[in-house]
Amino acid sequence: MSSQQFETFLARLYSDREFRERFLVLPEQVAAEAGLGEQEQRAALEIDKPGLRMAARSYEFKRAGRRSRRRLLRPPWRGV
Amino acid sequence: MSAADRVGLGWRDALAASTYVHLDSIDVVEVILDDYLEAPARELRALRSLGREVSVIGHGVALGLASVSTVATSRVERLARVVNALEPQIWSEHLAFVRSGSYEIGHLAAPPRTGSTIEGAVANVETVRRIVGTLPALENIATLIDPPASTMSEPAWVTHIMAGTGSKLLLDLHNLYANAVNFGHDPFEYLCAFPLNRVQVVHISGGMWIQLESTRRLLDDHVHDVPDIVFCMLAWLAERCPQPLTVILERDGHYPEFGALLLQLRRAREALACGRAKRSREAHELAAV
Repeated sequence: MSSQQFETFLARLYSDREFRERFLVLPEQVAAEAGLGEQEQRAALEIDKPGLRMAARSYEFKRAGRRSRRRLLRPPWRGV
Repeated sequence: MSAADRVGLGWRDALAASTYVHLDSIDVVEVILDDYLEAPARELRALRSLGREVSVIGHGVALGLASVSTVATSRVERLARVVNALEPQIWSEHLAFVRSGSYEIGHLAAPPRTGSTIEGAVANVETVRRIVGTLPALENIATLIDPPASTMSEPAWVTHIMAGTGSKLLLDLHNLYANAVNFGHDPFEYLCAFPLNRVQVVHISGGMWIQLESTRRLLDDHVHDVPDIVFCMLAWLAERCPQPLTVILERDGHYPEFGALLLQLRRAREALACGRAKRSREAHELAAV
């Protein structure tokens, strides 16, 4: 398991707040709509929800930081 | 500390002047390659001249190699231009995915730890090697979320990728520590499970605890000092790894007085020395038996 479709689903969960909030309310429906296979839907339903929220906030913060650095003409994206 | 061990600092604009002044205390600097993707040739030449003053290694942050998606050759070619201009002694990238489909995560995310992402990472690293001409060392990342759909542990997954790519490991000790404490592992047992014979570079940094409802996790943020336990882990590593280690302190903001960073470099040297001395003592004891 771990298709490109599943990675895209995760990337969207991590970067699209509206999609994520909808998933947290209606996980089965959103996972099914994403066209995931049966195993992937199960994995999506078992997702570490607090971790998802924390990670998504952290990514959001990083994206915002990157945008503000660009405005200041500073280099994008410091590493981890 | 063995003669071949080195201790240095991430090269940051805000620290550049102080770093330059204190090169007598800094063996090596690590340049973020992605900061120079758009740099004109003149700026790359200037960066290369830094290599005449101090050893330079490079660090990439946005290729997204640990993915079932194929890395875009155009991205690799842009990075190759910087690597080839800088000619770093070592360069590295992360075991992460950073985008998929039309979605840019904006940072390093842990992919599902599966056979598919191992295969994807191995293929992507081979593409990178072909275009850049050298293999990157590969870095373990910190994650706040236990990557869904994983079928194996992080150390096992990293070990398989190292074996498949032939790459060296850039072991980020704070990332490893954060993942261990966030997901219920003993940090030293967790460290022991990584392919330590592949470690070439070590990152040290700091972080902060964050809480959401009843869940508390350690965020690796690079804006706090290196915690004591990371220095203990470094000493432990130096005791067990015979190969030379290049240790880089990463600091990305909330910069303290430069003296505080130099102190952390000194503590890293002491940790290495402590681990090496223990290793040497044990070798002598064994020889005497």
